[in-house]
Amino acid sequence: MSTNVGDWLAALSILALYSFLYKENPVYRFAEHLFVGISAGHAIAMAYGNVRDVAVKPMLDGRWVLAFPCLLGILLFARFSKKNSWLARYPVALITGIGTGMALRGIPSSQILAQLNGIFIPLTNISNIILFFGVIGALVYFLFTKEHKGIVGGFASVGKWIMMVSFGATFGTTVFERLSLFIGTLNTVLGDWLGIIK
Amino acid sequence: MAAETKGGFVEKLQHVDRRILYLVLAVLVAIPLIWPFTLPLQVSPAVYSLYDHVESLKSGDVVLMSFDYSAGGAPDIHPQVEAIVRHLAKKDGVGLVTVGFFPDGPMFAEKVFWILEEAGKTYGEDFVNLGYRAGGEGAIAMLASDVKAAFQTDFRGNDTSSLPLLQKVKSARDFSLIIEFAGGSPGPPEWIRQVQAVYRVPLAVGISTSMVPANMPFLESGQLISILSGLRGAAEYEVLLGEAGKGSAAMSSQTLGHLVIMVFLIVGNVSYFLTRKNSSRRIS
Amino acid sequence: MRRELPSVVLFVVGLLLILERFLNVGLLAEVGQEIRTWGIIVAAFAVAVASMNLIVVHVRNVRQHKNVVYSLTLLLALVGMAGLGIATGTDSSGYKFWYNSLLSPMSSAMFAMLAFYIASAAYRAFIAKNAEAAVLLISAVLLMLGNVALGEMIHPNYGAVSSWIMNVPNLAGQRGMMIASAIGAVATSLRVLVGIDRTHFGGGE
Repeated sequence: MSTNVGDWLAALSILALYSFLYKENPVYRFAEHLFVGISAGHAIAMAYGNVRDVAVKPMLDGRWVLAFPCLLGILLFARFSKKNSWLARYPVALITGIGTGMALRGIPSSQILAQLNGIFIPLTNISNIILFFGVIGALVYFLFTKEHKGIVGGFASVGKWIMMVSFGATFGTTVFERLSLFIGTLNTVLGDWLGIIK
Repeated sequence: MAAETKGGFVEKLQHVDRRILYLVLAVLVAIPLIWPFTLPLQVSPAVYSLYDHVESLKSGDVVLMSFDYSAGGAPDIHPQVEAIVRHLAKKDGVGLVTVGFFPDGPMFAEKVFWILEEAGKTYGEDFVNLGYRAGGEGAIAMLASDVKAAFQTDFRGNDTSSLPLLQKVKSARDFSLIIEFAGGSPGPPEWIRQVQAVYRVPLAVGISTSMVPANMPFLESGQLISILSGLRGAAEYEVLLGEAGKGSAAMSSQTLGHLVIMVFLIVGNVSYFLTRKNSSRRIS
Repeated sequence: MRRELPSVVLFVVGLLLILERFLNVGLLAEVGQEIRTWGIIVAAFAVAVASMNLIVVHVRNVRQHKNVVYSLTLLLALVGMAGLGIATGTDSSGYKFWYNSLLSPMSSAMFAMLAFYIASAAYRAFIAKNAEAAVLLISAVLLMLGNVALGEMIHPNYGAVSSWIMNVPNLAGQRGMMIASAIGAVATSLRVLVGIDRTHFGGGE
């Protein structure tokens, strides 16, 4: 068994959270609130580092224009005031403008054109045929301006079946991922703490 | 009577206490960790691709690693990092720059530096941790266009213009390889849009297993050179390295865990359909 | 004007970033970098705003003597962790100790609980009640067999089956969904950029 305080804290906090699987209890609720508090504290500490390094230090070196985004950041807190919440729209406009600008300049080439390019393949084997008609079918499935009847309905149906396989693949991989996370916590409890796993 | 008994047993199966299911899963996943057994593992072409890229790195090359995952997803992703960093540690003269666009990112980068220090590498000359930047895709684009403008100080508070390794890199174009480890957003699409599509640097990703199906189109189109799939990706990389690590150790537990889930799926479905059949028989 | 002016700001910022990408003009590149710098600073403040909400709710709980122990725990943990990070730096050994001993393992445990919920759902909820669900479950099981060594125990070349599922039908479906959602994202972004969609500004005047 470990004599390291950190290992004890880690293992006991994991077990406290897992106690919820038996039933909701005060130990779990305490651990849950502790976790939320520490997470938020960590996010604040990291955000402070960003403001210090990206804004404060350059301002002390003479780049006073960076006071303006700091002011915009402070304006975000205006959303807590009913009377002045409209002031928060300016920083939101900046962030949203950056988001839409970055998306619009990148999505068409990377996620539309490059992907459409990938469907122009020779239909010489069953895999390529499935790939081609599967993509077309999935695209047609999301076409809502025409009723899914006749040929359009046929393609949409192909798309639906293909997407079911995709969702199955996502479920299968999600099972693997969740088990990985559980195995990680077992390594902490059984390995680092109890020393059962070598 | 036999039909009623059978119906009763089948209906009981449908209402098993979920805590018994949890206990079965927990015990069967834990057993192989305590008494491990090895199973064959086939290495996928995508993992070979990344391994070959790292193997072909020469002295003077610099690799960028982005840590874009939280502690919640780390058990599935972090073993990949350890495997790849162990490979990089063997490459003389190859530098490593790390960055994070999740708040936890730099903490996980710091956790693997002991591997490089053990190989005789020095912070500042052979590896640097730039730290974390908020802002997602915008921050990624900023790093890609000018590394030192995006990070005037590193995670440890050093002036980045004074670090020898960073004299070799101005923008993303100066990296020989970029590997992003992602558990969410920003993830592969953001890096492809802002970095790979603009600077054409070889980009590989190590992602949580559930993200793999959605990112396969990027691999097939050549926008990504490799996708490492969670813990399995780590295990496959360890096979190529010839060194067992956390990935390989977990695969036997994964195997039993998957077996449990599949048995639950089958038993759940069979008992449902038998219960429905019994109910319709009783009604008729 | 309380909605129009922010919409103009949004449009100008977005347009400058789009033009930066397509026009090779030095001034545009500098403006783009400056905009992104401002975005990083404002995004960092946004983290504090999110935490503010949490603080307000739990301070209210303490004042009203509701779940005092839990709310105090949360507030003390928040202040303690933030204070330690700000005072000593997030790269200090003290900060790393609390991060590695509490935050990291608890975060993993929270997400790992989903493994149990998946097990319970696999038993009770994932029923092949129709053909579509059956296809979903069959492809999931075939892929699960390939993700671990079970498939290779059935047949040494089983990997080719799960690989085919991933690289053909899954790829087709995911590619179709990717293109469709990308078209939707472009349409939505354009609506936001030109001010047709202003829901992100919230209600009120």
